[in-house]
Amino acid sequence: MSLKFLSADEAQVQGSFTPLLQSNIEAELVAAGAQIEERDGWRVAANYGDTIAEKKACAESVGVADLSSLGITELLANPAVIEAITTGVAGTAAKLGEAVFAGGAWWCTVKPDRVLAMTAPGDTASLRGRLEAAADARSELTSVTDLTSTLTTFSVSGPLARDTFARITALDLRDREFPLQGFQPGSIGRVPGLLLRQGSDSFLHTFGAASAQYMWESVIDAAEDLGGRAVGIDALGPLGGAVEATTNA
Amino acid sequence: MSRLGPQPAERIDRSKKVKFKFDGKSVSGFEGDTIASALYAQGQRIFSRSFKYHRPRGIVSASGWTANTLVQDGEWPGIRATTERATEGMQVKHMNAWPSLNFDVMRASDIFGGPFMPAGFYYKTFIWPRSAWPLYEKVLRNAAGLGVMKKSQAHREWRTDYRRRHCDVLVIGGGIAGLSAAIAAAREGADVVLIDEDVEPGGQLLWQGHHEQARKLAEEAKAAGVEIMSNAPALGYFDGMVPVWQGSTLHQIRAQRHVAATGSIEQPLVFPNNDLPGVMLSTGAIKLAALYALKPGENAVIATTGDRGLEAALALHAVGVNVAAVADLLPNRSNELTAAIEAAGIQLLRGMTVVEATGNKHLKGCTLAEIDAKGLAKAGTEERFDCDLLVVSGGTVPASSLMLQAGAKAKFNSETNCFLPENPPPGIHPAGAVAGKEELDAAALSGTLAGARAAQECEFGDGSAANAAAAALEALPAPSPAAPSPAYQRTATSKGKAFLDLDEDVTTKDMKYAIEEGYDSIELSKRYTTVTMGPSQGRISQLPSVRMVADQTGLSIDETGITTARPPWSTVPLGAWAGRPFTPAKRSAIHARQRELNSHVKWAGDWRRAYDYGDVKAEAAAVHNAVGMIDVSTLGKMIVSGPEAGKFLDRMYTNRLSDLKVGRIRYGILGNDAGRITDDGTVCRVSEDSFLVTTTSAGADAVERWFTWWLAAWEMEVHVTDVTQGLCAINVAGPKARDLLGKLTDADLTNDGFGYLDGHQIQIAGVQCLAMRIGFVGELGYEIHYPAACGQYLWDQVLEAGAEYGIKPFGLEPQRILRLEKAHIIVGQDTDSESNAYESQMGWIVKLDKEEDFMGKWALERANERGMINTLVGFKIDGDDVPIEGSAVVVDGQPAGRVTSSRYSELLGQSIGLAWVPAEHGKDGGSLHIKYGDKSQTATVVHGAFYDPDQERLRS
Amino acid sequence: MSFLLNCPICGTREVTDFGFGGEIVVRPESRPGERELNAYNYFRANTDGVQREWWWHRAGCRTWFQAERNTSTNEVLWTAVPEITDATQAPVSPVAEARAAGGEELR
Repeated sequence: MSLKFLSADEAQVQGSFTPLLQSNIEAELVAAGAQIEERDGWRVAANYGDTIAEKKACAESVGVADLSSLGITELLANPAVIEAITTGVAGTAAKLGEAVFAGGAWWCTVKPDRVLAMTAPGDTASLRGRLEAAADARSELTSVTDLTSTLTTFSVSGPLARDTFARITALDLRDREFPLQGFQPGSIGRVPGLLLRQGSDSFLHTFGAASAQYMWESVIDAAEDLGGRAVGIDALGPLGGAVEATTNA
Repeated sequence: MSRLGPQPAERIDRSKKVKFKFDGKSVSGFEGDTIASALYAQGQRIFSRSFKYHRPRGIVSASGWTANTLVQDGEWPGIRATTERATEGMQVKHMNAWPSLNFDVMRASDIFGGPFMPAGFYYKTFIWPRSAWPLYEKVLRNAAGLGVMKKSQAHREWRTDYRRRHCDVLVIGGGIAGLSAAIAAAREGADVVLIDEDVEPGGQLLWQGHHEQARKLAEEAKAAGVEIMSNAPALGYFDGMVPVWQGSTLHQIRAQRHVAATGSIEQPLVFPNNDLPGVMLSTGAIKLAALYALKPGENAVIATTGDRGLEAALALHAVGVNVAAVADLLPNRSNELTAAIEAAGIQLLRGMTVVEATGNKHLKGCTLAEIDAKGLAKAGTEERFDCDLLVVSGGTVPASSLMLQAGAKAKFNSETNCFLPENPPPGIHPAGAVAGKEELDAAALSGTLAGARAAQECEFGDGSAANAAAAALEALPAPSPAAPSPAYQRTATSKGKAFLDLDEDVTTKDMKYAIEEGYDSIELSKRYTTVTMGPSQGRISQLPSVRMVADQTGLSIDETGITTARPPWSTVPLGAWAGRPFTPAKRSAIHARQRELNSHVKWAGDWRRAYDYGDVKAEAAAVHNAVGMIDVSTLGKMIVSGPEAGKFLDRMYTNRLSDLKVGRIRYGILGNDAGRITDDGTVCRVSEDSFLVTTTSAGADAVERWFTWWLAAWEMEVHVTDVTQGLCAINVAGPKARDLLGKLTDADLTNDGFGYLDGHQIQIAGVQCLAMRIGFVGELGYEIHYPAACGQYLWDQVLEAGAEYGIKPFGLEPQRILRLEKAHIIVGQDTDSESNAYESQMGWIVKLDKEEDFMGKWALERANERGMINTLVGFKIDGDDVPIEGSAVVVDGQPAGRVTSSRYSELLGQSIGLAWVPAEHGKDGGSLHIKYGDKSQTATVVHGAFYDPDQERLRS
Repeated sequence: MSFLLNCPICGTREVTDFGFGGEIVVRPESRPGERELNAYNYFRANTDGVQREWWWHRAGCRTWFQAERNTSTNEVLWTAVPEITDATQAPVSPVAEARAAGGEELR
């Protein structure tokens, strides 16, 4: 089975038609000063005209970036099948409560029979292909679904990232309760959310794409009040992670 | 000037001046001054006018325990002048007086209205005639108002925030008990937060000569890792969550364990004119002197029931106040304090109390009298004193509100003469005054015990620290008993109102009156008189009001009981609760483009949607005559897959879906076991093992919940994935829809290759789509589902390709007309929680012969046997006078049904609609009487679609 | 109402994270009589004390699970994802065990 109509990356040039892949909130990003560039087939907010200031925000306060292009593939199966498939595809078994980075993807266990794989835009289609092949080889019910468009992800990075979240979520983000590589579902900004701590001060916040504009306004408002700002993906490392700040260009 | 020379514990920095305005006049204080202390230093004595009688009011507690010192600071009403620090440039105003604090015309209500304005006066007097209430309200609001609010959020310059904080142990209160508890818990390894409402922790230590100890303890706490939050009152206790207001942020603190170290509140005495400026609690007088180096008065009289008043006498004497007399209610007290007072040459009058204060705008003198064996003043023993300061102390009560909110019960302790909270819920540890431990040593030990125990319960420490503190506490001698105070004092010569509650202007007379009227329990008299219901939540009025009720009913204090103060325990702006004003709105990926096309955007459930693009008629006409396009991305969409997916859907829907062929679509309704319709939508079999299920926009969440609930109970071989937000959906409909799409795809769109109710995965303008031929709006149409990331791109391509056909985007409103022309129902508008499929004219979709016991089958079988009572039918009326939705269907002059949908159809030249009617009136071609407003119309019943009933256009 | 609830998958969360599914009602196995159908559809025990009920983690993993909660105090004694294949068969819980053993109602 293949549900290609769920996958934006299945779009291709057809005669005079060249499909565009873009964020739900491109208009809001542009209004905030984003420079839109094409990367891996997606139109993304590369920067807001001052990459150094953006990196500085991520190093000293908090930077918020739209990562709508982040690939998200859902794997549904019983826990034993999930373990077998993820071990085969990425050499890792995901665990509840934490994410594992392997084979170019964050493997995030939402519940024992549901795992999300988060990938850089360029890797999404190939990972989906490998997962589908592995699923087809199983006799048990196994579903692979592209949720890239269904879920939007923001990167929230910087020493005030946790303070930013403290304003919009009741999740306990203290080190003891939410260690590095912790992954927990919960209400964020009154919207069902998934939170991954991929660096000590660097979070990926994933939620339903239809709430993207609302969430952007909410998170940016909280971040700006703390001295933070919107940042482009050029200010971040791979998969929206924080990078060490460079003060000289 | 009232400023004293440097005081050892003062918190003002005399090297830094702070200038601000009060009612337009310049005020100059020092850094560290509160608004009130800076004003007091310049001679201000009246800080407000009272709520009802507009009597002048001044500083009582210097702690914010009354509404007397509430002021407006810029945009912020309800600021406590005695606790709010003065800052440079502040614009402070009084709140409840006109034209000024010094001269308030409403004082007339006190002087002349006195006997005529008993409790309940406003309720009783101003409610008739009803029609005049808006006028009364306007006048009364001005008379009783507390501050001025800006009209709307948009006009405010300040923002309020939420902030979440988690910790192991939250210590509420930073006095000696709280600090000891925090230190003990943190030393055991717990993550501890201590909150305190003052500018620095220490509580009473700070103004009772122990400020150095307070600062040392605070340093120890910090060193142990305690996070100390000052200026941070707790507002309530909500199942373990404590909201704390600090600055403009509401900190929602969630701790595993709580230490309640909220301290005690000194109580006043009740006697005529006990509200005059110049009458202060000992706490107020001492704080002014010790913390702000203010001389509270020149000539003082002290009236006390216990040691506190004696301490105050010595403290005031030490700063140069002439203490004319100290009246002690106890006839035989003799301790270190009494000896010191006598040694200082101060007149100590044992067995006397105050029976009257005199003065107009400020205290000028008072009358003391001897008491009898019951503690009541004896006539003929009055003695008059001139004074400008009357310090009163009626003992203390523990500040137990938060513990009571948490579920503890208040029990009167006749030894300490106050209510103590008992049986707190697990996880809350009282310390200090609320544990009945008021003496310094006892309070400290009870704090250590509570903190160590709380930490132990969070699995820190072995309990030895707690055990040691418990043993030491046990070894302390019991405190000496305090004298019980009568409800109020008055002799034949006393004149004036005696106040039980300064916030609400409730007098002893009001309470008597309430009890005489039958409001003789504390719960009833509280509601009737509003006693304790003011901004300070009964801090210094609860015990007096309880004593008054007990006195009047003859019940004991314990039998009378107390009421629980509700949150917020401290005055906060409403913005504290509002937090950040964001509403979680959903928007389709094409939303921004639709805004650019000047759509009217409105709420539809939790979505923001385009209602129209400015011309409803033209948009509907485009669909009928050419082609239109609507964004229906809000539809719920789920992938239901697995070998048992068909079987599962057969159980959920009333009709059969397991036999649906790949690439085909069927409409279905969802019901519950009561046989009611809960949602509807289409089901497309995308592959052998997977279906795309669509639901109504409003029902997406509920249907996913419904499906997964039954799957949790049945554990079928089925997977459900909600892709509502991942798929954009556009409905391209109209006679030119096929031609238009033909320009964008190579797929076969002919009727043979892509028939009505077919669903095909095809590529359109390069995007992979699931195109479904569905006819909700009554014309040839394709509902195209495709990835949201391509949402705007494909929308743009269709609009561009459709330009030559006159394509128009259309909104929800034209869609409602178009679907009504087809008599398609909207679940939730045309049906409600009582509507079954048969009565909704959808019996054709109920397959009672299915193999699976589907949801609602049993109830529908019975409904089918019983026959219809009411039925949903279409109706038409000539002309464009449309009965509004909700109009009554009238039979024999009685309402018998209702209109659920109605619109004027430009296409048909008629008003059309759907209505619930008694079954016998629902026959095709019959007539209905519809009444709306004062109009009455006759409509003709229509079964089936108004437009294209044979579906020729749909299938073309 | 702001008590905490323990999602068996995600852990402890504010109750506002969850959706409430009501007290547990067992669906009849086969066509019920009218009285039984009405009791199933409309009658609830409305217990003052500990009752078993459905909850789902609306804002989190979206799992349906069962809880035993004291309706008077909001104390939650037990939560678990039901490991059952038959709706008529109830999962075992501490309260159910205590009841079966003739024990006192847990508080």
